Amino acid sequence: MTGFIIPALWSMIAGACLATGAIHLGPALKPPRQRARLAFVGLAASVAVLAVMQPMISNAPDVEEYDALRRWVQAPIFAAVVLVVVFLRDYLGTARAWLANLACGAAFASVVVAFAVQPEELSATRWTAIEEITLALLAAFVADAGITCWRRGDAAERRRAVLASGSILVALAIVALDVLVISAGSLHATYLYAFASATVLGALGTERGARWNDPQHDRFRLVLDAASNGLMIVDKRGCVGVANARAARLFGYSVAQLSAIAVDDLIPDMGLGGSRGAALLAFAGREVMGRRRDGSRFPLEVNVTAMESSYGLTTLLSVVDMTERRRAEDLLRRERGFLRQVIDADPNLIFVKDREGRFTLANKAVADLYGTTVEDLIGRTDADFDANPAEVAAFRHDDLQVMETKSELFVAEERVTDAAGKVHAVQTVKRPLVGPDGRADHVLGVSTDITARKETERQLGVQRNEIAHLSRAMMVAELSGSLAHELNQPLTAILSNAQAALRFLERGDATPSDIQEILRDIVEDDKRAGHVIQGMRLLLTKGEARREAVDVNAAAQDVLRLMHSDLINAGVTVIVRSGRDLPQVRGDRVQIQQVVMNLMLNACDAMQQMPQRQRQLTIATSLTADVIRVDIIDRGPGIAPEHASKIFEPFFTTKGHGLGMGLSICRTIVAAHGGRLWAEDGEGGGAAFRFTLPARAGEGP
Amino acid sequence: MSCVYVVDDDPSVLKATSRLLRATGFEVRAFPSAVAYLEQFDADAAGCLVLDLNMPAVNGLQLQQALAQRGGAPAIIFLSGQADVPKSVEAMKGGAVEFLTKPVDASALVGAVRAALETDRRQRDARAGRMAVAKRLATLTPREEQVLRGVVAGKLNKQIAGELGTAEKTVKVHRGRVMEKMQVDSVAALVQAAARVDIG
Repeated sequence: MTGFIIPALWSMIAGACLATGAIHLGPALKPPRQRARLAFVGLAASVAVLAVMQPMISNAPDVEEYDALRRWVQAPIFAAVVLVVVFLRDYLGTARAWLANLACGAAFASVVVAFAVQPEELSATRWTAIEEITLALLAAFVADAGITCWRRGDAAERRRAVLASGSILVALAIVALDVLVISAGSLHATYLYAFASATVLGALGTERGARWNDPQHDRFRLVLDAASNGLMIVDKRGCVGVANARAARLFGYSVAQLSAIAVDDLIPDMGLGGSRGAALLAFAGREVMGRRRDGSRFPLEVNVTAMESSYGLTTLLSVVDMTERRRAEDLLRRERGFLRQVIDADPNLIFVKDREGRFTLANKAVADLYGTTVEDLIGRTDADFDANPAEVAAFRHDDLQVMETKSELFVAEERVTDAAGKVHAVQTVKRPLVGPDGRADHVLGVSTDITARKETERQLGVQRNEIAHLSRAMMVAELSGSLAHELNQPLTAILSNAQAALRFLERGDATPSDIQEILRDIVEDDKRAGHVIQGMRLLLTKGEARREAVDVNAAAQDVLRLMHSDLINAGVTVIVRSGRDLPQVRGDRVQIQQVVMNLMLNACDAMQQMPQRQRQLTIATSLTADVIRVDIIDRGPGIAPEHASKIFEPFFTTKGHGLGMGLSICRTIVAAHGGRLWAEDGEGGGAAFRFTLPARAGEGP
Repeated sequence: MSCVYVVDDDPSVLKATSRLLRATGFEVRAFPSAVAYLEQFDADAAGCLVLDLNMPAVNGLQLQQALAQRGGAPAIIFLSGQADVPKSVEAMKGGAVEFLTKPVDASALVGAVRAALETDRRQRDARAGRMAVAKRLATLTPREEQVLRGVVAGKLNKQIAGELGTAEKTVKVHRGRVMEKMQVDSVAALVQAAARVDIG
């Protein structure tokens, strides 16, 4: 009976296998490509080949053909073994690589043996053992993959594990039985190989078709792979079950490889040592170091979600590679550090304060001034450091004003007391910092310590005053003859008056009113002498320049009085044209007189060689737009063009006497009063020296 | 009556000086400037001038020169603020009686004024005498003047006659007329008078 039934069966099996393969080939090739399905198709094909070859072996007409077929049948067997491995790996995703490799290696060894060993020796135990080993390895591989999948997966997965691993194991069991039967010699039953394989294929083929058609599963995979984070589902033992492509790429594995890897290998920091998936929750939001397959480390942010399901607690790890963010943060930190260095290196005081006056930013200069650290300053106020409440109040007032008006404030000079109690003069610019809501809740200030500059200015001022004094002293020396004369005149009058009175009294014909008149004159002359001395003493006074209200006309009159005799001696006629109702200027009366006197002495010197009737000096004062101008015009030879640019330089002189400092000092004095001194050609052919002084009508002395 | 003229540009000095001189009993006229003095200057008026050296416009020395040119200047006492040697030399050369430095003591000033007035009086007397002689001289005929010159030169009548080509007798007559016209009664007096007008 078997004589015709069995060959027909073989043909039917082969046909069924090919049909099953053909059914799955189409969907397997359609994107997304399913490697497991392709492997399944290949498996079906190789089983079909086996189904065709089995009866051919049985019915081999001679020994040669039998041997040849026995060799060649190893090829589809090998193919079937490899394809089972590939199929399971992709289908269950839980393949153990070393088992798979061993099984495939053993199968390949069978092929090699089949072609390398003499056909008559092929049935020797040592060669058939290879086939048995192959079988055992494959069984172990399949069982392991199935168990892993079972333990890891949900109900659906478990079903797949049972179906795939189970059916393959059943088939392998049949084959093993077959081998046992053959070695017992009771049956020539190689038929069972193909029968077994076909059974498996039949069972899986239908089931698998339905599984692959499950759109839910595909979508799940698609969504998983499309996620921007690396996603891994970790079972309660701490092993990765499902992982998406990004997670795999992150750690340098394939998706399949990543499955079944312990989380501890991927993220050693977690230090779980195995089972408690719940402990992962402690790492929620934490940044840890990940370890790639090649052993390199990288920063990783982990988010953990616990998922309670029907088969226990699993956790979803969402991992993000922090390398880029870390690099960006590093860069930011470096930039911040750099900016910090820059503002700390700035000797100016730089600070930002909020509405409550608290420092929100300050540089080292501020900290140094207040004798503390930058960190300590933040959140505290000026009042915590500056011992002078008046200064603190001024800062506060200015800060609030800047924030209220939202406009810049320039403080030319203010004072701040440092930690050591030393008072610094600072110049400050304050600007509002306007937020997105349009409010200015912070004020930025930059202060320059001008203490040293002020001191230098003060010293310069002292020096200037000393030079001015020296120059005055020299002028007084130059005028000494004239001044002596001015003093002599009243003394002469006093002596004569007194002696006249004595004589009147001696003669006895003096009336009391005569004597009274004489005495009155004596008093007047005495006062006059006193004035001369006072004026001279003022010129010789050394000291700081004063700021007082000065009547320029009166000052000029005083100078004329002091120079009276000198002008007569020099044969110089003075024409005075005083501007009427001139406002007063603010400044140092003596220094202004010094300028007038210096210019007049120069004018007299310039006219010395002129005929006497030409020795005319004009002194005029006038007011133009809040500026008082004083002109001193001589009728001398004028200023030589080659000297015009030099006359105001120190130590330049055309006279035989003098230091050549006069005009230079005059210019300095006038400039210090906010005016200007310059020279022009005079109307009468001589020189005209003019200087201006700003009128300060409204200001009191 | 001789008068003391005071010129000073400084009003209080002018007033005080004038007052002191008046207290001493002089008649004083005060002028605030050289120009003011020049305007009323009378060459015939006797007196002395107390003059400030340093004055604007026209100073003391310039006034002295101006007066010298006009003739009949009073004796001048200079007052100066300082002892200026070149100017004092110039002043004295110009005929100043005294050069005083301010402040000047009353006795020094009064002494100087007295001396100046005396000098002035003498100068004026001399000038008056000169004028009288000159006036008389003007009445002489040319021949009488020739005879006068001969007499003053100490020549004998005979010599004069010989030089003039006239008779000794005629010379005698001329001589008598000269004596009469010149209002002298001796040859010595005649010689003295002639000397005043620089004859002889």
